Amino acid sequence: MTTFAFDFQLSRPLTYSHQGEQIDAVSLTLQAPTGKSRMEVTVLKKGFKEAIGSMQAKVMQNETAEEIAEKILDARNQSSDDDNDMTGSDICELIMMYGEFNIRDYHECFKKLLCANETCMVDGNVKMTAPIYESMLFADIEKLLGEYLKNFLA
Amino acid sequence: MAALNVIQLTINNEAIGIKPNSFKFTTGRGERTVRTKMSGSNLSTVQSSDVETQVSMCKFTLLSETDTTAKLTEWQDNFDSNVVIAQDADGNTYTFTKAIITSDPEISAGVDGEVEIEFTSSPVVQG
Repeated sequence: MTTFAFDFQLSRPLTYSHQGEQIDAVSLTLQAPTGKSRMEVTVLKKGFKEAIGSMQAKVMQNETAEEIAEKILDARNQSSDDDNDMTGSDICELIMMYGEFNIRDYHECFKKLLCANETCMVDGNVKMTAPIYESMLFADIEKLLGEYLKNFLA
Repeated sequence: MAALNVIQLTINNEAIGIKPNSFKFTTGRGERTVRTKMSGSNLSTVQSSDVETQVSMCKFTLLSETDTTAKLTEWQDNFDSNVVIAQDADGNTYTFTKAIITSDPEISAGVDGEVEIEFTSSPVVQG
C-alpha cells in the first residue's frame, strides 16, 4: 500500500516558534515527495539502492548473510526499538555500512528536502526550517532518514 | 570572553541575514526612578520601578533585497505573533517572544538600500 504521510515521534522535544511563543514539539509529520523535490529524492533513492546493491555484492563475496544480519542486529540493539520490522535506525545503519557515496552530501540533501515546501511539518503547525532542523537530536535525524527511506523510497 | 556579536538571527524559525554590527536590544527590565523625600532636615530616597516600561526592544538593519518587502509585511501582518531569537558567538540565545513591529519602516531602494526594523516584545529571555 502506498504511504502518503507518516508521523515521527521525537525522542527529545524540539523548540520552535509559533504564534509569538516558544513551544516544544514532540512529533513531525512527513508528506510523500512530489515532483517538486525530484532532485533530492532521486539522490536519496539512488544512494539507498546502491547501499542495498553493495550489501548484496558483499554477501556474494566476503560476508555471509548471517554476518550482515548480525551487524544490523547489533546496530538495532543499540536502539530502543523492539518491533521485528527494520526500523529507521537499522536502515540508516545499513546506509552507513554499505553506502558508497559522500555521506555529508547525503545528509545535506536530506536536510534540503525536509526544509523545502511543506515536506515536513513540526507538530502540524509550522514547516521545518534550517534552524529547527539543526536543533534536532542527531539520533532523531538518523532515525528520521531511515523512516523516510523505508516509507517513501524503498 | 568574546565581544557580544550576534552571529545568527532567527525570526519565526527562519534564519535572517542582517547587516553586521547592526543588532541592538534592551533587556526589558524597565525604567527605575529615584526621588528624594524630606522630613525636617532629614533627606532620604524613594526608588520605584515603572512596570509600564518593562518591554524589550530589538532592532537591526536589513540590506534591501527583492524579498525584503515580503518578509517585512509578513512580520507586520503577524502582529504580536513573532518570535525573534539572536544567538551570539558563544552560543547564548536571546529570545524575544510576542514581538511586534510598532513602526512602519521605511524601505530604501538602491545599491546601498537598507531597512531598519524594530521589534517591541516581552522582556528578553536569555538562555
